[in-house]
Amino acid sequence: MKYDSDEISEAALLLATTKSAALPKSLEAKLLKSADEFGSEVRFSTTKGAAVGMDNVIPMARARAKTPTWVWGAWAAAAAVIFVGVHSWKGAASTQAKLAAPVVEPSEWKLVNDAREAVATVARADGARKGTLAVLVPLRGPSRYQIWVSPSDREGAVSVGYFQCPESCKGQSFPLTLPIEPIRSLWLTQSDGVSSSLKDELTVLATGN
Amino acid sequence: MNPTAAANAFFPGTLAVAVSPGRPYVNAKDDVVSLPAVTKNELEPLLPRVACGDASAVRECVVRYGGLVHSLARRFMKNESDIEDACQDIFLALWKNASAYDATVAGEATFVAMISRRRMIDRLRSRREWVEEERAPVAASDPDALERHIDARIAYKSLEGCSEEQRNVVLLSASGYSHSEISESMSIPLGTVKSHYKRAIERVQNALLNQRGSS
Repeated sequence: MKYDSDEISEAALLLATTKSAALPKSLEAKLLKSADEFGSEVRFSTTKGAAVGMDNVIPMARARAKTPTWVWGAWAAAAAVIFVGVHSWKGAASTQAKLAAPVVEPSEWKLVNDAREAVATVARADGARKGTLAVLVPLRGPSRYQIWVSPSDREGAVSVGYFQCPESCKGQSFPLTLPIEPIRSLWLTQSDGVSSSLKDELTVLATGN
Repeated sequence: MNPTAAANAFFPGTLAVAVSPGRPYVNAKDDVVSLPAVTKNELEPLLPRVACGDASAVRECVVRYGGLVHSLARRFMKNESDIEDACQDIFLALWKNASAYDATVAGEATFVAMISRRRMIDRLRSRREWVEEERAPVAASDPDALERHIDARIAYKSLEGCSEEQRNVVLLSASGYSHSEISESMSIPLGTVKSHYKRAIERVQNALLNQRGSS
């Protein structure tokens, strides 16, 4: 659009002699609707820094119709591959999570006596069967000490290690062979020999869960 | 209805310039107000944003210039339905030609007025219903417009150095009257109209150029 200084000058004079009044609400609504339509339909050039008029715009519907069918097929295939991939990954992740369930359990348990004093710690290394027992305080008595674990209650407790611990065992660690199942409860007992089950007569020095 | 009668109907008591066979023009000298120093108080222009694809600026144009466009349209038409159509037409032209706006040449409101004036004249002439009754006459300057728009202020002030005939010719031309119509209305030869117009418009142009150059 071209314009000259005559037009600008006359427009300025027209402006000077025009009392601007408020736009009627009904007309404003119509104009705003037109503005929205123009804003949504017009395509703007970003390379020339200027708006491309509606007359020069290829309607979006026409532009889409020109897209080759194989392009849409490729997009659909890509979407399917992505969907299957994501689905498989989620399934694998779920399975892995189930298999690695023991890892979710605490990797360390404190065993406390009746006075709620921590006397030992059982730790599992990276979800493996191997573990350690750390004696935090000296266990009094001359007999053996035995550690029990159970996936449920006392009835299911199994022995995972025994050892003699003189007064000087404070701060020492002893190897354990832990069950693969999740550990829910632990017991530290004292006896003269090695027991095969956690019987009621065994003296429980500390428990953990 | 001649322009003078229309003027009285539209702007009772405020008529500054009008033409009628018995009274070619009204002395508008007293209406050329003493103007304060020019200050640039116009808002940040919207049209560059429209040209760059800012949809919100398209809407803001309506809010900012809707009243002006409507008022300008009312100067050319009376029928409200025609005015609404004209406003739609003007805004569409404004948005589509947003990239043509040059802030170094004119203020944005002046550009809006130019688009409006051009579209209105085109519409009236295409309808071949250049009905006198529909056309509002030249009005006095509007204090708010002079306060708000620098170009308007500068342009109107520049007419102080013109003769009354020159001033009336150029104001009628700005209002959309052709030189022939002005000649007929003011009962002066067409050549004289053109001469008056040339001298007056040059003064306005120079004033606007000086203002743009100094700002």
